[in-house]
Amino acid sequence: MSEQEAIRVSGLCFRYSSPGREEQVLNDFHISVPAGQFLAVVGPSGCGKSTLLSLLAGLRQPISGVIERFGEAKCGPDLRVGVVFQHYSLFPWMTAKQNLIFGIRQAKKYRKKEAELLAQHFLEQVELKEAADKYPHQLSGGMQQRVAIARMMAMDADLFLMDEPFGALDTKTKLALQQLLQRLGCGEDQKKTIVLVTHDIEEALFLADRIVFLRGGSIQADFTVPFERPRDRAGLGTNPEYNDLRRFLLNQFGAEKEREAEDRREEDMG
Amino acid sequence: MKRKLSLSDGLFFLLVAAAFLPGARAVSSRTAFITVILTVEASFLWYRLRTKKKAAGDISIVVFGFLLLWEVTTTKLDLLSPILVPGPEAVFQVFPVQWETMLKGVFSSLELILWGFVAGLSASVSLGLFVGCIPRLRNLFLPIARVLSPIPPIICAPYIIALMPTFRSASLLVLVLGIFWPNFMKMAEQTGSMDPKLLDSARMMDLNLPTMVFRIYLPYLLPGLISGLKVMLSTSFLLLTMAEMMGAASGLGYYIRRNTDFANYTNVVAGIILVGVVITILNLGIGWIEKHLIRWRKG
Repeated sequence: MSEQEAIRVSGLCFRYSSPGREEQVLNDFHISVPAGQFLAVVGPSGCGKSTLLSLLAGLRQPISGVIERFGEAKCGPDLRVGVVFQHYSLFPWMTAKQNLIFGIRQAKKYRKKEAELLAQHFLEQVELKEAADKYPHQLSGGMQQRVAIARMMAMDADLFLMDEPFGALDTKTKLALQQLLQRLGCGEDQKKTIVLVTHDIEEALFLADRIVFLRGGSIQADFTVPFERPRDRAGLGTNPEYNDLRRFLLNQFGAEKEREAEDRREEDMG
Repeated sequence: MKRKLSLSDGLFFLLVAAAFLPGARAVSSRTAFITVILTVEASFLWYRLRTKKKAAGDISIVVFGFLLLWEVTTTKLDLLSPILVPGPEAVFQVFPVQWETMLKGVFSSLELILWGFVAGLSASVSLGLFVGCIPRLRNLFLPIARVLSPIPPIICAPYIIALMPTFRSASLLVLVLGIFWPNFMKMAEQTGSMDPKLLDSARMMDLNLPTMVFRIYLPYLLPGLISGLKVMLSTSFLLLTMAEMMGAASGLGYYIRRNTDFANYTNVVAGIILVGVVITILNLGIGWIEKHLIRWRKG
């Protein structure tokens, strides 16, 4: 693995087992992600994107294969890796600020005062300074996700893993948070590697440097997104190349639907 | 703004008037009874002013209605047996006369309850947490707990009294068993069913075991623990007073049993009221703890 690779996955296999049933999700899967890249993993439901993310996070262990993060094949979670889930991952018994302070002190071993100042700084970055002393149940879904993102940034993770972080939000909030993520993703100190799992094609094209399309646990398409940053949503919409890529990805989803319909016909006949 | 006279106000005045009217039974002193009526009215007025809830008025109607019925059927008209159903003046007069004995009994019982809670809760929470984290242990111990937990500890009390060296240690064991089993099951089940996303968030922070226990699991389990406290408190008092009735030399249960032996039902009723007051005060305390310790909970 070169020094500049944040992630390298080789021969990854994973399956879910339950009594009387086994489902192979990933089989001989390979991918490498250079440091500093914003990768979007797109695909239909059940294609293995969330499973891949949880394996990269160290929350699950593969049946076989190797996952290297920053050159190390370490099992289990790593403080250099931050995760934001779709369904808000804040601790409900801590305020927004306390959630950040807790994460910072685990990651950086700062004293309480230093951690408080840092927490305040990152809450301001996500425009939630006034919500510092509110509990998660007092915050909207969008605000909770912003706090989760702020916590991940405050912990100074080198690798951000995000599993459909905006999936449960309304369109307006989602668009605002995508803007925030784009601002973070192309900041001056952009050493962060970001892997975003999403089924939203427009989101992937707006945010990512590179998109991989998964189907059946393997990569069906892998391409670089050619648009310069910062990206403007309105401008992209009129760009022919953007529309071509969008159509290409939609066709991939359409091909998936055709394959499923074919499988169902075969089952009915057989 | 003029306030109209409500039904509870009417009942209050009626009750005070009734207390001063002569009746069929002789009364040594009505001071304690009048004090209780005034205290109850003051409490309801304060609660109504603070919360503006209509329930305060409804509750005071029921309380004053009951006191009035009690006063009329006993002291005023002597419709019931004066030995078995003493009048309110006689019952409330017990408090200023026997306050030292009663207070000793309260502290004796409370001391046992406190130690029972400390031992029962610490054992059930720590073991429940440990078992709950490990699916194999959960599958092993929860079915066993479901069989053992419904057995009322009070049934075992005579055997436990024979086994243990002192009555107090026997009472303590009965209390601990009454608190341990239901709480152990609750902790194990709640730990086992913790939101996986919360667990994943915690795991991503690579927390050590003490941090995981004290900053993640315990705060998560706290609402369930506190919501069960009120029920545990009532159960504990039930177990303790029944155990004390069997062979204690002090405590609230002992006070009630001893006076029953001497057919002094005036003191018995006073003791019952005292148990109710003590439990109410403790429940208010638990409510305060709940409000301050788990502010983070919705609603």
